[in-house]
Amino acid sequence: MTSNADSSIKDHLVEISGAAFLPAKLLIKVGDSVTWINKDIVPHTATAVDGSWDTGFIGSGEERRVVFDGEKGSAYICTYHPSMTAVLEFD
Amino acid sequence: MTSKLNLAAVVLIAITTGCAAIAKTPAELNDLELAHVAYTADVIDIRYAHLALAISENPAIHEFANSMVRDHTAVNEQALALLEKLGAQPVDNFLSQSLTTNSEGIIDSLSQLRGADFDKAYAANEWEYHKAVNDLMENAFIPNIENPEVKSLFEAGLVIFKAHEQHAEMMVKAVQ
Ligand SMILES: [Cu+2]
Repeated sequence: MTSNADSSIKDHLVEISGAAFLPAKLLIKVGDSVTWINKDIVPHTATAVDGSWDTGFIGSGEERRVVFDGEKGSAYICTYHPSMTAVLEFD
Repeated sequence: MTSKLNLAAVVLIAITTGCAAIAKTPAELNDLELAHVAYTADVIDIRYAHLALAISENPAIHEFANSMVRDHTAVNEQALALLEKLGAQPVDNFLSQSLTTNSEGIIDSLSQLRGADFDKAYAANEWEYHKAVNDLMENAFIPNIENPEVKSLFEAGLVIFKAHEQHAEMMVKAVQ
């Protein structure tokens, strides 16, 4: 199947569970979006280390989506639990 | 200072004296007693956090303390909701009492400190406290909980409190 730029745009899913981002390393393309779903019993965030993007507060059972319309900071953490680290890699 | 803040030692004393007096160890507490201990441990950490928010001027300490209030409050809300669903009340016990008594001494000590001295002592106490409570939860409580819903709430709490332990360790190193 051939795909043009538009049809290749994807929404990726990152599960936050057990105080960890799963998967911890995600390959995405410019134009894609990522949705974080918080399955833990406490709130989290997904926040770029360089501050270029931020989901803000994601309550227990909630989800937040970020559209990556340009290449942005790839390393991210939960600001509430800085031991939680993960990476977005831009293809 | 360090010895006053050593929760693990106090818990051990509580366990030993508890053994002599009423032949009970943390592993022998029932689910409703364990729920009381966990709730009490959460309340204690929230108290430490409020003290830090009142005394510390370090933004990183404030962020850590805000996370402690946010998470321990959330876990306790879930615990209360579960107990209500089960139609049960938490039951006070020797371990809850010794944790509370010990925390009062620690709050006394911490509240006399200011500036970097406070930040160092608070971070060190948070690291020690989470290590001690996590060890109890993992090795004494969770293996002995009978109700599966209570057990899964303890397991969900433990994984968060381990992230707190790591965060506290980062704080200890940052304020040195
Ligand atoms: Cu988090």
